[in-house]
Amino acid sequence: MALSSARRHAGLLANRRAFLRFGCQAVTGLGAAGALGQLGGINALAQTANTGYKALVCIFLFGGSDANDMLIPTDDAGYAAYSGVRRNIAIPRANLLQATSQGSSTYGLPPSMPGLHTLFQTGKAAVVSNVGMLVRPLTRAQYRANQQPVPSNLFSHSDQQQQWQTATPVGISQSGWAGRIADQVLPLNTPSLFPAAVSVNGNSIFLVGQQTQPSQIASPNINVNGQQNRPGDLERLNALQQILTLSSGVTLVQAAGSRINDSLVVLRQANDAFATLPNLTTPFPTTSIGNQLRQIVRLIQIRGAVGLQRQIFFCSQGGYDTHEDQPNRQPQLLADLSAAMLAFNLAMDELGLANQVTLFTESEFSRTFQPNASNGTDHAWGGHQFVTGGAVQSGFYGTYPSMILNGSDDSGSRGNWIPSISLDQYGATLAKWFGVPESGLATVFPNLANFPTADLGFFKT
Amino acid sequence: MLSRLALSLTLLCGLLQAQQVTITVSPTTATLRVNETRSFSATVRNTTNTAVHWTATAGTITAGGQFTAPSAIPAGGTVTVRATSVADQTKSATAMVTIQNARPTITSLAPSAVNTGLAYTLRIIGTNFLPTSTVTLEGRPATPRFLSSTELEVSAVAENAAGNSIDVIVSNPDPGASASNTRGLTVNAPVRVTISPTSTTIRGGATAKFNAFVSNTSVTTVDWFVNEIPGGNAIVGTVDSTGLYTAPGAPPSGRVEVKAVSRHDARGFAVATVTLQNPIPVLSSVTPTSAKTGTPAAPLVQLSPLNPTLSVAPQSGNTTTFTLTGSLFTPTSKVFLGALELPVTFVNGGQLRATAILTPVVGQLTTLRVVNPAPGGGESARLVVRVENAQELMSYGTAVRLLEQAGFGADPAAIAKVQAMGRGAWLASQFQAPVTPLPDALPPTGGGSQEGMGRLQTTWITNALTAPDQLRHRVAFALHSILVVSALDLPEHRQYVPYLRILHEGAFGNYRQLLERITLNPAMGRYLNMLNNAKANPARNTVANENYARELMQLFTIGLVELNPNGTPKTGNPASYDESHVSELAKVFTGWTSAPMNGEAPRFRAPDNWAEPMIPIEAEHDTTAKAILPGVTLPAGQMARQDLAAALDAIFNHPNVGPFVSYRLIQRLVTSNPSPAYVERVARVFNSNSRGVRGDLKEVVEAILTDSEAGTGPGAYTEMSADQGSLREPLALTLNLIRALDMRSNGGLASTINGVGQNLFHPGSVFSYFSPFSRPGPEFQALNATTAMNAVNLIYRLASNGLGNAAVLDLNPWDQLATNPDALISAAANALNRGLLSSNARAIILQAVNAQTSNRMKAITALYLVGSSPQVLVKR
Repeated sequence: MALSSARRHAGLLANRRAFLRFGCQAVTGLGAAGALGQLGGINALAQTANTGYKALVCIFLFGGSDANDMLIPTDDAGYAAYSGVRRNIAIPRANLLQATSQGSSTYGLPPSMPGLHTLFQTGKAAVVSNVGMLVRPLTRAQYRANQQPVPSNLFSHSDQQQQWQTATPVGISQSGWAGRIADQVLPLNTPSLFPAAVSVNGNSIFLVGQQTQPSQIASPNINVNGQQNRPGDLERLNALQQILTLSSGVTLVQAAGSRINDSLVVLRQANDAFATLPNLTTPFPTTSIGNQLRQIVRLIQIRGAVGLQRQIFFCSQGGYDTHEDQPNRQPQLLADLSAAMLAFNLAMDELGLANQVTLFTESEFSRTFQPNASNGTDHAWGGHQFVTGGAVQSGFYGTYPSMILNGSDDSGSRGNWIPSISLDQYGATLAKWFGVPESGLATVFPNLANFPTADLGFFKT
Repeated sequence: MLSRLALSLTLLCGLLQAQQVTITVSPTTATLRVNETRSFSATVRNTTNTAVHWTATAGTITAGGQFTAPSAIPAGGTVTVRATSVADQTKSATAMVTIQNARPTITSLAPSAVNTGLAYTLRIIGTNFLPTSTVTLEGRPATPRFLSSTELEVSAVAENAAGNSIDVIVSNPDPGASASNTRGLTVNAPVRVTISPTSTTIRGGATAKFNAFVSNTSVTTVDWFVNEIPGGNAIVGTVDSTGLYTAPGAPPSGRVEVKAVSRHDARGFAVATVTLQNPIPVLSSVTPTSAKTGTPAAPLVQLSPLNPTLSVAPQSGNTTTFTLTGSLFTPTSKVFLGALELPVTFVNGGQLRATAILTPVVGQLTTLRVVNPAPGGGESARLVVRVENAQELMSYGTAVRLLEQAGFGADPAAIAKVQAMGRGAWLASQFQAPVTPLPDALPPTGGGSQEGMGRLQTTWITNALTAPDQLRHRVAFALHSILVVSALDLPEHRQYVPYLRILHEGAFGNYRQLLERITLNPAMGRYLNMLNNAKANPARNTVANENYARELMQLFTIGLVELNPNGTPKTGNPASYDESHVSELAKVFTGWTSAPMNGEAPRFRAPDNWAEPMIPIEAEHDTTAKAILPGVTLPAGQMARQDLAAALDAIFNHPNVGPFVSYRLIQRLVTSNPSPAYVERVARVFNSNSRGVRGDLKEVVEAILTDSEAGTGPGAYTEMSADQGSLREPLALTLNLIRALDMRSNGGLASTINGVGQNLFHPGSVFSYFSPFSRPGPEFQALNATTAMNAVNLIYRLASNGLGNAAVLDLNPWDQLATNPDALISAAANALNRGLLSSNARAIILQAVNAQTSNRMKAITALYLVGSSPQVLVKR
């Protein structure tokens, strides 16, 4: 991106901030956005092949989902290795749902994931095997000899969640990689004033960019109380927004005020747009993850109304920290996940956006291949992630770990797999499809150059 | 022949000329009434000159003999008319004219009508009246007063019945006596008066206009009376000549009568009834406008917004007497300070005195008003009065700050108490306050399911709002936020309450003992998998569960990185331990299971017993040596309790623990980003208290709350520095506002608080509600568009009573303040933000308040906008 272009965008951003502060004219602002729509077309990025709408949707599996039980070898040798370690928590081979293969190795999904199985069968799902946080490629010998830099505080939930969202394995980042992707495609969304990065379940640094300010819009009906068109109601609302944006010079006061005010402005825009949405016929499960993905569908549906060409969403499912009783706990979670992922893909079919929206998973770490004494598993490292959507080239990507405790893929003794693919590569493949120019990938993933390829190839060409 | 005769007469005359001139007058007598005229003629003979000269002794006569009688009868009663010959002036003749009185006439009567039975004076207008004229009225003689020849006046009583007229005749006497025409004087019915309105109800001091209508007479004048007193008086009220009645300021009870009486005919009157009600008092000023509360009496009891019997503060001394000036006060006038009726002395209608020992009020500002009781009555305007706490060992703002740091907020009574006691005494009383018990779970009902968390949440919130051991609740909740057990995985009351009890009981105890109790708590055991954690089993290819070992070190005690004494990471972020230590420590926590119940023998994987600490089953305990920390190896062969004690001792004594725990407790109680020096000062107390003991939470809490950076010292209120403070976590925000506004609550606030981003007792993970490292502060992690909107809406609902019994606000005092928007906003700022409000914010809020059309909406708007301002959302 040319410098002059960047500066111009910074100017637009300044306007965007100003708007958010004095955002009572939200509808007017959107009208202006429509009128200025031609502006978005004059930058180089928008003139490349990146025409048309695209969205990325991340489902974060909090707690560290045990990937060993999410993609299970189904060939004889593979299943024997699996069941030999997993023993009494192993999933019976007969129950596995054949999904994909690599060479002579075949892999199945657990019986709790028929929806994801359907997506594999219809060519809309891929799995990336043994992906995780790395600073650079790493062997067991290097790890055990401390010869290579490794991510800080491996095996710690909070640290690894942070790293998976920021693509920053060492040190502290003030932005997330999805936020930085949104920064890169900002020209495509200019001059929309609506946040391109939206969480539907809690705050997440994943969506915070250098310029991108994410928002959280958890449900379609959140309105300011006390607004009943009575005399004085509008004056009260305007006063609220003025107070929230007053300068106080006090750090936390300032931060709280602007965050709340931005929230009010965005929610007013969203509510206006939600009000006119057509019905969706695709049914969604009424689980937490189902409801979240349903809300993301709404936010995709209002893309035109809010003037966005690129959107990034964050949703999440918790409870994967299965130290205990994993055979009962994880299947229920995966069943909810799988059903919701299928519904979301069907909804994209209904909206005619199947090839333009990609849904993918993250989790802070996988779990020990070797179980613990509580029929559970403990914190580990590399795991498998799923990518779904019409643009996805269905199949198996990466290298399945060797499944040998204390083996070459084990960082320790319990099957803590050292990732063979880094998060940077996984993310960069998604980012490239999304429209981030090659030159921008290093900004999004600072360690990307440490790895042999930036494109894992799981999108159709 | 005729001409011959004429000629002969002429000749005859000539013949007579020589004779003497003679003269005669005709007529020779006449009778005339005064002013009448008569022609006389004269005959002159024996001369050719027959001209005569006429004279009269009275009256006038023309040259032609036209006589006009004089206007009065001359002396003697006659006039001589004389004709004298011009030819011979010695010759004359006379006529005798007798003069008579004129005949009277009546042209009109005034009045033209009289009322039957009523004495009247009649003016008769006409002509030719004489002083000697007489009058008859219906044939009866009456004696007139002669006023002039055209006016007579006569007085009589109208005896005729209404409808019959009285014939009026005037007669003149001789000479020439005569009577006038007859004129009828109409006789009407007696005068009648009606009044309108005939009854009315007015307040003291008010006026009522009455109109009197007089009929049967043209004389419509009435006289006005109040209770028969002409014009009334100050006691019964006054009435003026137009019928305007003015009620007395302090009216006698009941009624007065306003009477209109015909001045013409007193028989004609009408009465209106005026029901007097108490006036609307007018309050124009009060002194003093600022007063002190009474002095709290010892011993001080905790005051409760939920329990009004407790919230009557024991007060003594420091009596305040307000002098109220205005008008329309009555002996029954009442005086209210806010909702509180004050004893009152009636001085006069313009002055009252009210005396009381004052109790603290929300927002320090309240209104004084005079109320006159029914009937009628009403309220005066409200004057704003400031009520400050009498004993102020701490400033108001500092007391509020301390109550927010060391409790769940500041209600007026609590503020007064803290101000009266001072920080040290109050903290001491808090440390001594007994533990408010938490209820046992209720037996499962019906389908056998266990009681869930709802009642426990409600009870705990109720206690946090009202229990005497505020500080204990605050510290226990802080410890819960560090030593996390989430009800997401432990959804039953009976599972959770023993864990909470440990935190409450241990809030001021030793951290080492707390760690042990928490470690052995079965809920923690379930949550972090120490419960039924078996030692490694090579046959099953299992090893010890690492979960508790990891989180105990990472989140409860040491942290991942070695810390300086001030809590900052050591240079290079050296790891405190590595994965091997986690695996080794995990072995310590093997072999523990539920305590036996019902006399059963202890066994591994025993049925859940949430009420008692876990017990070890040595056979399942890993007895190998354990390198649990760098430089710390537990020897092989130890019993489970030995390993546990040694491991906890080693962890507890790690130098990180002091700064680690201190930093987190400071964040929970005081400020999100404490200075390293603050952390170090507190950590030093953790490391060694005043008796050289490590881990004394009581002294640690005291050190946190009394540190200079906590801003709770004596003297004037001071602001924290601009980078200090903390965003109020949703629980604290909600409870702070409820206490600040002295609201009642049934405690059912958990779902509301959850909407703002904090699911009480259900943190999302062992990482608690917020990360201590989240920037700009931990609590910001939960602030997003949805929760921000919910927070703003929460404040609206609190201000507008939109939360049902979960939060009941008495808006009446705020309604009363709303007539004075400046005071309203000041009171809101006093209650919600220690009186702090920037002039910009005040101006914005004032504009919005003034745009509201009712006092209620003004009150709600002020509370909402002050409460929503970021200054209030951040605790500083």
